[in-house]
Amino acid sequence: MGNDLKNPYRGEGEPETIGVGRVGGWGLIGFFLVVLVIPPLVRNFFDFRNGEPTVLERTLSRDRGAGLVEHLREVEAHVEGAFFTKEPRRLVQHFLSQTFAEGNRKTVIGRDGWLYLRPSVEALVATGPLQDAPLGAASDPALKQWRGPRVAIRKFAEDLEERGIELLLVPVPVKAMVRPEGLGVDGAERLVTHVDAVEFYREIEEMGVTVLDLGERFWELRSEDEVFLKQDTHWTPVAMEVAATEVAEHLRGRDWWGVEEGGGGYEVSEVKGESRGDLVEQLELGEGAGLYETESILLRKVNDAASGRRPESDRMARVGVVGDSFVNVFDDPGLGFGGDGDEAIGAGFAQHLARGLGEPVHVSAINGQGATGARAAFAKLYDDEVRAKKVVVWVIASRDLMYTPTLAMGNSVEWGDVEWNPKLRPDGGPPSAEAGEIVEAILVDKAKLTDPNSPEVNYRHSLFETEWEVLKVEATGEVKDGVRVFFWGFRDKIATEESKIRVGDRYRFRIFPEDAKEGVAGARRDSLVQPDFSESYFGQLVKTR
Amino acid sequence: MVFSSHIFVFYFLPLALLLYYAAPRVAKHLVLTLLSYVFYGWWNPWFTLLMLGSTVVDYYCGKAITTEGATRGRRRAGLWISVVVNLGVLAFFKYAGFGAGTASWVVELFGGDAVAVPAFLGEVVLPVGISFYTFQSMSYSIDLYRGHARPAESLVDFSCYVSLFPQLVAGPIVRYGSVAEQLRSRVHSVDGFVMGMARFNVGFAKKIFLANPMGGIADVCFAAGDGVLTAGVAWFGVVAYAFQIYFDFSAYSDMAIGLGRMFGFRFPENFNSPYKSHSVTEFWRRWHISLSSFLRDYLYIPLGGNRLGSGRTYVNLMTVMVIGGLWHGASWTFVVWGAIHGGMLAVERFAGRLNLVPTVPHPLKIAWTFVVVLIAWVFFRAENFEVASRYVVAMFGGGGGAPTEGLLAALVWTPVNMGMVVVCGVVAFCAPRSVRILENLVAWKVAVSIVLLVAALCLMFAQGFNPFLYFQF
Repeated sequence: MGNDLKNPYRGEGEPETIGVGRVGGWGLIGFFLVVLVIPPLVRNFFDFRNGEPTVLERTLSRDRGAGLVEHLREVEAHVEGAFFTKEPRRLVQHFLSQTFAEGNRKTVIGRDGWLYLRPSVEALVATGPLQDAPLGAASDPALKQWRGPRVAIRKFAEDLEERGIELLLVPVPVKAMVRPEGLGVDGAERLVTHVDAVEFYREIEEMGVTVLDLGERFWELRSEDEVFLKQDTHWTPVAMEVAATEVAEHLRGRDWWGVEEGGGGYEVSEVKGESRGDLVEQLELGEGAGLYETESILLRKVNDAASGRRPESDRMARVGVVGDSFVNVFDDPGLGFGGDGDEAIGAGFAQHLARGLGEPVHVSAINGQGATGARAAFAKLYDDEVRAKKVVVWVIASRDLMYTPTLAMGNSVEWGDVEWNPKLRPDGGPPSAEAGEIVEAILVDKAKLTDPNSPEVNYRHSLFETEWEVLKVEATGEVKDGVRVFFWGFRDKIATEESKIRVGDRYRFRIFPEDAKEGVAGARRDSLVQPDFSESYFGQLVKTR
Repeated sequence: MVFSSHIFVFYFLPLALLLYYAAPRVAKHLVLTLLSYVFYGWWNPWFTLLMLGSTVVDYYCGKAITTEGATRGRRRAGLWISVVVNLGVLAFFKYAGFGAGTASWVVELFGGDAVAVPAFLGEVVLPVGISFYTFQSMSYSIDLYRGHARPAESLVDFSCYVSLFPQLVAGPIVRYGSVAEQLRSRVHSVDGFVMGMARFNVGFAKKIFLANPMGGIADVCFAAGDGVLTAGVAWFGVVAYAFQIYFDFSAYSDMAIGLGRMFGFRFPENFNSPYKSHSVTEFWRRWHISLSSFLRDYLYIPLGGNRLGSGRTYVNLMTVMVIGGLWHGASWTFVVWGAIHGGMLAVERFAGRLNLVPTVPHPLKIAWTFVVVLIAWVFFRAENFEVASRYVVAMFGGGGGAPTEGLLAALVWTPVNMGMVVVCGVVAFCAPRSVRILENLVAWKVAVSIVLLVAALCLMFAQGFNPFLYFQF
């Protein structure tokens, strides 16, 4: 072979001269290696010193039940959340925002201080819910399996109708539809809506679902007052109250309403609320950025006239509210406007709807999970609690309805079916732990946690669901299986101690009824795959092993 | 993992360099092979079994081809087994669903009942980089058969060649003959490492500063719904895509060549400022050079090349380009992309033969070629014909009219986006290519490249958008 070898590749290669010298060369190589090696070394050193698992330990230890590919992706996400990325990210974004008014993947910077949620704007210009999603040969196979909203809405409406309950869908317009001028779209004479929106809502109504589209009402309102907050994704208190009033008027017009106008029992008091806005938070400029001031707004808190307290969610109420952060804003302090505490504000949509109706409502609203999570939480009510409802008012950001599969998956929006709790409410009401009971238990299962720095997450706080084999309830000595407890996974985007608990290990923690803990019921959550109809609690670790 | 990721830059690469240079000479290829399998398995460990299987088959086929005294029949059998296995693997993972769907459509077209495509075919996951490593692996058998190289000294050496992580998943397609002698003996030097390091840094910066921002523009334009895309935005979007795919892919090639150099290998160049081309013919001498030369040597020339008359030449050109299109993806849009290029190659050859090419200034030739390439890119980028046709119609004024067209324009026409497109244009049309910038390498150039790396890392932390387009092939 040797002498006959005719290698056509001999002589390949570009000419070059390298004149860095040996010493210079080693110096440059050293500089290069310092850039690569020092940041992760420092990170792992601090992890080790603080008792946290290093990257190597995380890579080599996999949670029981987690697939290998899933585990590697989690390791990679953890690596990308390194402390040394935060300051450069902050500085780069600060420079881009200040110099070029350039936002990031979550926030679009418009004119005159207006900020917009980028996925919302992208949803308005993409193919939407009626046109086929642009999927091709190279598309992620998971996108091809994605199910849009129509099937889920139809199924939910049918399930409710079986139980004698109406469904009222209330899609909340997004800011760009009502205030497009902030994006430089001047001269709009009408609501700037998705090309398929009207046809889509018509299809939904043909399923027997009533759609209360607030778009045109908000377009009229904009000439009187601001409809959306400048620096936040959500509506203003004025727009929110208009929405609550519209819904209340619609419900009062139903045959089954039967209560006279002016049912009282609620009072309103004014309080100031301040927040920089979730869209500013998502720019990750840091506290001292100085580019955006807090927005001050006037909130109208609703109080029960008799007790002087915020109207509670009533599981046996005739009206159920299912939704997302548009329901929770101005009530859940985790969304801003409530100061530093955990106390619920009481100025949100559900409270104003209760005031408009003159009677309490039940609320199943979960931040970021209005598509399925909130419905699943509603379906967990006892069967007779569900059947006590006459109507479910489903308040959801219209962008969730308009998303393409790619946008939906990128923003953690999924349209699943829900499983209904077949159990009846026990005599004496739902069982509940004495507030703060201490429990000793073994962790049986734990929901897959979303990384707080993931681009899919738009909220500061998040819960995760766990399942336990209870060894002992300290107060009563009781033992039970299959107890579900929610813990904080992250608070202010920082992973909690509870997020590190491991399946198979034993822990002591305090449990509270989930409904009874403020700021918990509406918080975004990572749930276990298999639904469960036992009561779920909120937990706080007492001691870890 | 991808090159422009934390896990690669801060963990895998330093560890790989440490283990490789600490290993004794006899173990270096084994270390490199194991590292490459870890790199590839990071996406999905099961994919490594496929690559291992393909490697073993081709190694032993190579032995069959080169065994002393092997008969012609045995040698041909070895070659054909290698080709069939590699193409068979590619066909199953990449084309089975497409083939079944197309067959069903053809049957329906002729009045038959639709053939049910087995559900599992729609769920087959395409292993990352399969198109690259199967072609590379095949080139071993072909180069041995043609006498262009000696066989690998061991299975480890051959595995090292197939799995070498710098070019495993997105090229350049390194033919065995061009690295065979480097596998036997290569020089590790400070100069070589510094050159590799500088090349990697330049590629990394190109990816982060140029390719990624262009991708953000292109994605939102190509995802636009009916009536939202105006002509201006459509052209802006496809220009952005043209820059994205060029800078993304050439950046990857820079990084691959640089990484290879750090481990002592010299890989062939893959790009030569393709958008400076005066014709589509010239474009294919400058774009994805490793693929076009592979197709030329292993397909076009065996088909007869230009030796069998003009008509056959045009057929051969079209065949090669259509297959080249299909190589990129199992979709008719890729076939159309290939056909546009094949058609233009044939037309240019025809016009050149008859001296029909008008004398026009060079800038006009470059502009005309760029426009043709842009229109072809629409089919390459669009997920299906519906998107492609909507896009092309919009480019020529048939789009727009939706109330939300202004919102799309607001997302796309930002100062940063417009500035970056201009910068990309200057770099693509006026700047020298990376290898030219670095061919006379001095200390300050290397220092600048490291500064660029640091700046790019800072921007990477902020971007949150980091696709690598050619991974999907």
